[in-house]
Amino acid sequence: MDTDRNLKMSFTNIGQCTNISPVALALDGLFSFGKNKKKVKEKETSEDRNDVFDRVLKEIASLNLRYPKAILGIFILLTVVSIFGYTLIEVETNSIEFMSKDLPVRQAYDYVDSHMGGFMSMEIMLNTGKENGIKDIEFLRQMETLQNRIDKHPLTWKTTSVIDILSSLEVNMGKPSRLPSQLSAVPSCLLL
Amino acid sequence: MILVTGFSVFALSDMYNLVHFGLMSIFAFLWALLADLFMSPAMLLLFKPLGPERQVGM
Repeated sequence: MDTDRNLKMSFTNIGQCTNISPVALALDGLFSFGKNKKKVKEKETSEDRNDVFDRVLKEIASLNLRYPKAILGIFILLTVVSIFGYTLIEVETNSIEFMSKDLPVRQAYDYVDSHMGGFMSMEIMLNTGKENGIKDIEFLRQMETLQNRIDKHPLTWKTTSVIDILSSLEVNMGKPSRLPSQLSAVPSCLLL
Repeated sequence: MILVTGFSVFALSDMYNLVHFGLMSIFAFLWALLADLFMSPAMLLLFKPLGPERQVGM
């Protein structure tokens, strides 16, 4: 791995070195274009030069001198619009949504998300507040209530919890209730 | 303008977050340039933070 990485870094360095040389040469050549070979007058002022950059800068200076309040007003307005734009920012935590819809992986994700249960799952961890609280039948009943409530949410596809394990064990043992009826039965059902 | 050109490469990405990053960067660099050219001189003219204008002796 190290050798491979070192080799890649070497290639990167060589690439950078080979890029710098032509760029340096090209810049020299580029800057030499338009070079006035005549001897430049020593007392040449900016008034004497009239290339495109000078003309643009003179126009900008002229605008600044004529309409400073209007320019400042425009920028203040832009600042207000930018602050409003900040409120429109949405935080997206699903990295798949970043991908273009033309990519196959995004298309597969969209299909699974719309036709099946979806990729994303949410895990809820409950703190019982005491040691071996999972064995408490009252806690399990409350957890079942919570699970039923989550099940009713329109975006919920399926919920699974320790209640389902207990109920399947109970059903397999021929008992009609979802939860063990007796407190002492919980640890045995959970193999604790 | 070099920064704008460089960051415009992000606009070609297949990842929307990189595209948005590139566009926002381009927007920020352009407005920074415009602010340098227009807003700073306008503020200097209006607020005169360097004091009143003085006649410089030739």
